[in-house]
Amino acid sequence: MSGRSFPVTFGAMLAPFLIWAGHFGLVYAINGAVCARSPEGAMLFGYPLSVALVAAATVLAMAWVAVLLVMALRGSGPAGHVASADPRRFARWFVVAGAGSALVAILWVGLPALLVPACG
Amino acid sequence: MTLRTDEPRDEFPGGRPTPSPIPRPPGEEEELRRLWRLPQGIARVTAVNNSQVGVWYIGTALLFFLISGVLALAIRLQLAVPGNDLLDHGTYNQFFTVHGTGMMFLFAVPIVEAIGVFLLPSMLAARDLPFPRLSAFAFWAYFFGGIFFFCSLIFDAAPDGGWFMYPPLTSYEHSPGINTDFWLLGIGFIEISAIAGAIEIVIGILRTRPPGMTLDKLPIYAWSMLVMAGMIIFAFPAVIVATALLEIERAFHWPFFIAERGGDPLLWQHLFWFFGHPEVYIIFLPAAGLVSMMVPTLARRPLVGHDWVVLALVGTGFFSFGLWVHHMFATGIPSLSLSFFSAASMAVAVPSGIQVFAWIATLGAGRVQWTVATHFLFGFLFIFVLGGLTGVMVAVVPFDWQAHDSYFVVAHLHYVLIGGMVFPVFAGLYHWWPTLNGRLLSERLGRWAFWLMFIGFNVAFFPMHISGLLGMPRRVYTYPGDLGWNLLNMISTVGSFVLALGVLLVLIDIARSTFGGGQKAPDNPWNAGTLEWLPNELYATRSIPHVTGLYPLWEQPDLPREVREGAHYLPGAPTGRRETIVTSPIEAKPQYLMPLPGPHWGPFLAGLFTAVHFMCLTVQWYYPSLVPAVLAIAMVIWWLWGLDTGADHPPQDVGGGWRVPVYIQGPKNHSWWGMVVLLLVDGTAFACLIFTYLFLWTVSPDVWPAGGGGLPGLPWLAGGLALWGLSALAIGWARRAVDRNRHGHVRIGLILAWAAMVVGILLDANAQIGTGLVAAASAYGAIASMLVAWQAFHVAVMTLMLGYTLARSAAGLLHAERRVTFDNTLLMGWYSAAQGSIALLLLHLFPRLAI
Repeated sequence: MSGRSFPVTFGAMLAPFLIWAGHFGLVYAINGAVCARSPEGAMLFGYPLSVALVAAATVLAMAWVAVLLVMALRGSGPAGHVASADPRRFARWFVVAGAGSALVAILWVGLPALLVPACG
Repeated sequence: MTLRTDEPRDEFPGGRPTPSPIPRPPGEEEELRRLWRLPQGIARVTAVNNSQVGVWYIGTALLFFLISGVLALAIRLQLAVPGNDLLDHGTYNQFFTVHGTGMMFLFAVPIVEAIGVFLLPSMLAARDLPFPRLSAFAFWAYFFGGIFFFCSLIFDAAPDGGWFMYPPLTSYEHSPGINTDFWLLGIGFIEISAIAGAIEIVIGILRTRPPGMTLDKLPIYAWSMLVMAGMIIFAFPAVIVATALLEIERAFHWPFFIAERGGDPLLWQHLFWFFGHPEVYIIFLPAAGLVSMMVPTLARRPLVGHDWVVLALVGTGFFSFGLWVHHMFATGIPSLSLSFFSAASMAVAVPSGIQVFAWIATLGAGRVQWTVATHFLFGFLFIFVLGGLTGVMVAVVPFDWQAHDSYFVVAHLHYVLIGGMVFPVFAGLYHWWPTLNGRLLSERLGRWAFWLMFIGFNVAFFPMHISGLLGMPRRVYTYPGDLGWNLLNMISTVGSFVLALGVLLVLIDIARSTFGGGQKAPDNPWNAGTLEWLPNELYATRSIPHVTGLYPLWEQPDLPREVREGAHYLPGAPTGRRETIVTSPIEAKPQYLMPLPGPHWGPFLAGLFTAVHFMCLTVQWYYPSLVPAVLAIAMVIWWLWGLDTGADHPPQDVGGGWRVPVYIQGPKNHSWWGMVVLLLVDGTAFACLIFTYLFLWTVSPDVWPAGGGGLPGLPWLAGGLALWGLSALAIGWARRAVDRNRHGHVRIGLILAWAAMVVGILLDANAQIGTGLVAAASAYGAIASMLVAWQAFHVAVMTLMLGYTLARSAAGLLHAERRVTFDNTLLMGWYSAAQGSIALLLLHLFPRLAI
């Protein structure tokens, strides 16, 4: 069995955290930019623009991590194909545990959008 | 390509044959000793062995710790009584700035990297880290730069703006003179040394592991260093960019932070804390890694929840980047943004908590040996948990608004940093000292030192929580006597001297051992299970073991004997020079034999000249500064010239049926990995500049050109993109010519790429200047000029790299089978072209498209 590419395997292991980081950067950028530059009182789907965009980003990020979680639980995805048994099991466990953590973290960071005024 | 002489024997425990037959041929070990011996006399400074450089590095960091600590004592003496005039306010400002800067930049980060340089190769059973001369250069740059930085105190020229250096306090108007420049140039350049160390550590951990040490068998300390080095790669460029912007503002009045001309002082805080908060975890995670190595040894059982601790380290590394704004809660940021950062600040406590519970569970489940290290570990747990709890308190925005800039925060940060880093490092000193000189430090002195430090620390810093809640602000050099702070401050001062006495005892113990005192240590005095306790000499272990578990010495009791007899991998020096095995990053299978460079004057002199160059810049000797700059570059070229050797030996048998090449090209080469990691650093710095551009636009869109007016015409954009594209294509064409050994075409390709880059940057600059852009006039002018200047800097770097590659081609040292130098130039060239294109697109299109 041939060895798996390091960037692919390591990237897969870090993917849940990378999605968390991307989500975090995005929600901060959305909030910062909207509060600084959008017209006063801009709304989207009946919610303040910033809140609506942050909520959408949170749902998307959580869905993406959930897909990774399901793939890892099924033993598929990039982390499922490294050469020897131990690293493969470890990589898969890492993706599952990381995805669980990232789901909680994304939700935790995204929740304020529902509770706090956007640009107060 | 890796060749195998027979079916490789992947597993060796249980009486199966070891990788190399024993007994070994006579003279093999003597050859290793000869190749790895240290230069003597004054030439000792040319040594590059990690065991030597690591010791120097640790010693220098402890020296800077001592100097910064003495400054802290002076600060505490000044604050012992109200209305004290021991220090005037200017001197006090210099003292607390140099104390904070010294502790954070010149002690905390360097010592964790130093311990890594010293410990990691033996923990991975590698003969050395992959870039020994880079390590040595990083050390000497740090050494000379640090000495130079502290000398500023003698001349009353030390920085005085606090270790955070907030503008406008540090602007040219409010902080004239060279004090601030000492910080900006001195620290900025020392951080480059930290990045060099991080590159070394990443590649060392991923590529020089022993066969069998798959990713899941990597020691926790190596995981922690991997995360730390990754964090340095993505955090430190932010502070380098910030210091560059502030220094340029001070020198040329480009208004990045001046609100009247479209800048914003908050930009500094964003960039600084994007580095500054991860910095805390950059310091803490390696210390936590040390703890995770010591706890199983001292508890005599494997670490509980090993995999969870690894996950916690990686999670902490990520989450810590989401905390930077929690230093800015009081600056008027929108409440929703505050909430994101408050949430992340609380979330980061979870992975830290996982580690703490794993340590407690391991200690609880084991039979604890009560050594000095154990004392320091329990002290660490007590202090760090308290610091963590106050950390959660200040993560709550309303509480932070109350406690902000008070002594409560001083108490919190010292609990976290001293508890979370100094105590584990001191535990580590006592624990691993025998690997340094074969002697034990004194258990008796160590216990005295611990109790003095533990009691002194709590007496010094616990009262600060209360003085802070009573309203005492930080950074004040004195206070009136009727505010209820007098007794608390006196207690803190007494505690600080008790703490210092404990530190002094440790230093006396170290000095005593260094000069031959103390008890000789057995090979594995604490009965640890990891590889650094294998018998070793300057060449590291006699042979590189085959690893089958997390605690090889516990699982393979015969391993020390087998390794000492040369029964494992690479028991000699088959090519007659220093070398180590490079393994694949996930499965740790041998890939090639990496030649390691030996002693050389280049790293020492390059470090010295680099420091002199920055010293000249600090005192504004701009033209004279060119001399040491040229000399430093010449030294680097001197040490590099002999390194890309090509496949000068046939594939070698390293044991276990593995016959591996001695030279490898392309993405498997360690040098290629080094360049990729360097480009990640470079890309992060560029991303920080893009952030700067966008941030300044959000706060001051009025200084941006509107709707294309005041911008170069789009043909300039097309011309610029075409030239950057041409440079990329020309280097790619040269690559194909190298493949075919068509040397004339290689040289034409390289020269064409260089010409396209030079013309490209001249066109870009001309286009911007042609619009009447004045860098000092507005934030837009400043950041647009900065982006062009940043690209010009890359063209200058490419000039050097292309010139060097051409010189190697002319000297006959570049061909299809010897092309690592070329591949590195290729990567940098493509990166520069991509970066130039992105900068152009941003400069030309964003103002046209922005709302």
